[in-house]
Amino acid sequence: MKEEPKRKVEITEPFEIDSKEIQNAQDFSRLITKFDEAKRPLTKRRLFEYKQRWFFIAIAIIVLIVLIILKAI
Amino acid sequence: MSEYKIAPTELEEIAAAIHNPKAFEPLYKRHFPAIYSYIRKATGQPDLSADLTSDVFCSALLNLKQFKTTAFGIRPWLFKIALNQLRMHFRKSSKAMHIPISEEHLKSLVFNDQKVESNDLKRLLAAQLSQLSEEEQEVIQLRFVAECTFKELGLILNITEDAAKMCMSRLLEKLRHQFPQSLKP
Repeated sequence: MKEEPKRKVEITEPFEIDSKEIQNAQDFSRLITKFDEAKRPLTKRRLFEYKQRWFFIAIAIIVLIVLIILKAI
Repeated sequence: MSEYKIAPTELEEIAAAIHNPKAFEPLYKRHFPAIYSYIRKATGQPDLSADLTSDVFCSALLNLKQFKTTAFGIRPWLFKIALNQLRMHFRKSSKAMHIPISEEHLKSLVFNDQKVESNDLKRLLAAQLSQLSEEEQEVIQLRFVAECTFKELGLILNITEDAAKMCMSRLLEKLRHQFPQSLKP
């Protein structure tokens, strides 16, 4: 049976996270959809990936249309 | 390691958030620092930790109906979700899981404060910890980095408090046993 590779561990120096970093993270990663409207909340990262995907699809469609038009001409 | 005290309104907030997502906001604000710190210490990366923490809360909000109310509130359940997020993250990435712990603390844990001569104790112990299973590494993380109590540890791992204590004691014994003979006190 194939043995699963073990997860690497690194022991680092202990540190305290200051409240400013936590506050920044909380603002940054705040759930995008407002809580009072939340049906399917998105995180900022997911929203970015979602927009990025649609951006590339839109570009591909435009290129395709331009190619079809050029071929027709 | 002080025991976490559940906020008096928490159970009502959870019940309210199931029907009204806006009521989730106080839970998010209250538990964000602990969950973020846990993930941040395990990954060592602020931006990634912020992303993973937001995924934890997103997942909690979406699955709130499945949450079974306990006297300890939502905190152990959030840690359980965070644990799964970290597990998925480390399976996808080849990066090492961080365990921030001082050398003195290490010695007291593994060697019961007995004198150990080594300039490279951290590296040696990291190698030992890397040989443990994912679950065993997570127990160490939750207890010594997230500073979960045994009660919480039990709730997160679906075992009793006594079983959590036993599990930790066996783990430390295993680490002591595996350590190179030359370093044993």
